[in-house]
Amino acid sequence: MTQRCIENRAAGHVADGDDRTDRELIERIGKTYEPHTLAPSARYALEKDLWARIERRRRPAFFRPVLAMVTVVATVLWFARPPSDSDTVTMAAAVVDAWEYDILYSDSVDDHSFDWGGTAGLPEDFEDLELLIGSDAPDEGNGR
Amino acid sequence: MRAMRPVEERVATVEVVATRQRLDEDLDRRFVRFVAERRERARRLAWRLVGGHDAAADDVTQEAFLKAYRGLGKFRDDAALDTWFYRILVRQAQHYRRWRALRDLWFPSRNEGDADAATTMQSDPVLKSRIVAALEGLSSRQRQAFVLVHLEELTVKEAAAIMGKADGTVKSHLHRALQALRKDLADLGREIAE
Repeated sequence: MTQRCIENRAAGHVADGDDRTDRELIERIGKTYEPHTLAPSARYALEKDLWARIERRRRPAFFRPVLAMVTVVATVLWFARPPSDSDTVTMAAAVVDAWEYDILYSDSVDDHSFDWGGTAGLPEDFEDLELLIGSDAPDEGNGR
Repeated sequence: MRAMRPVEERVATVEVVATRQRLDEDLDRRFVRFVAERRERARRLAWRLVGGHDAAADDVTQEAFLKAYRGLGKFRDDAALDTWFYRILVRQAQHYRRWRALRDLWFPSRNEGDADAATTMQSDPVLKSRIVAALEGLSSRQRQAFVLVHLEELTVKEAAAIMGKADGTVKSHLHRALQALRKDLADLGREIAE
């Protein structure tokens, strides 16, 4: 056990694990759960990578404002560009064609004053009934 | 104020550049020494905090040193340098663990699995994986407290300063961590007792 551990325990910093079993458990964990000591080559590689990182982080500082400026300019130009032909075609396609309008909204379809062709062609008794009622269109109510 | 003549201006610019270079060189020299003094311990601490992964430990160590490099120029209090640096390292390890948890959630196939058992064969790999599992079962604060105090042998006060917690909180974390480990590694404790 190292001096630090002894100090920790003497100062009452370690609230638990003062008995021998706990101390040995901790020591065993410490010994087992330990990485390899870095070999000189690994140490060199670690430092090389570290300096490479530092250099990499130093560089972007120069072109970061330029990149931000280019992004802003490109966005502004995109929104400020004149409308192209494709936009007009798109709008025209949305307009209902004339013949479609006729079908949808024409008076001849929607009009209730449909011409039934008068009483011509009806049997005689029906002609009489028609004259009696005096109506020129069939009642849409309850068949009356 | 008198306007500087071109020659004076050029001399002043050269002096500024030279001073900056000298400061950069000073910082670089100071940083080289700083790394050399802390490299081994920083990597060991990172390795223990990230769950025994070599590559992750290297990554966390380098990121912590990189952050330290940025702040080292402004940092003059050498006495508090260790606390400051290890706090960066512990936080960096915590970020890494969070990122790894998120990555494992979204991409379970990329799971790194157990710690690099092959690289630490000096000890029993089965026992090591059990210890890793037991430590992984602790909360991040409990793990940090346990590693800093019991494995890295810092005092509770130092660990508390690094973790940014009160001494009492760290003691409480230590108590709970030890309780959990005692339970998880009960057979190991019995083996020791015998």
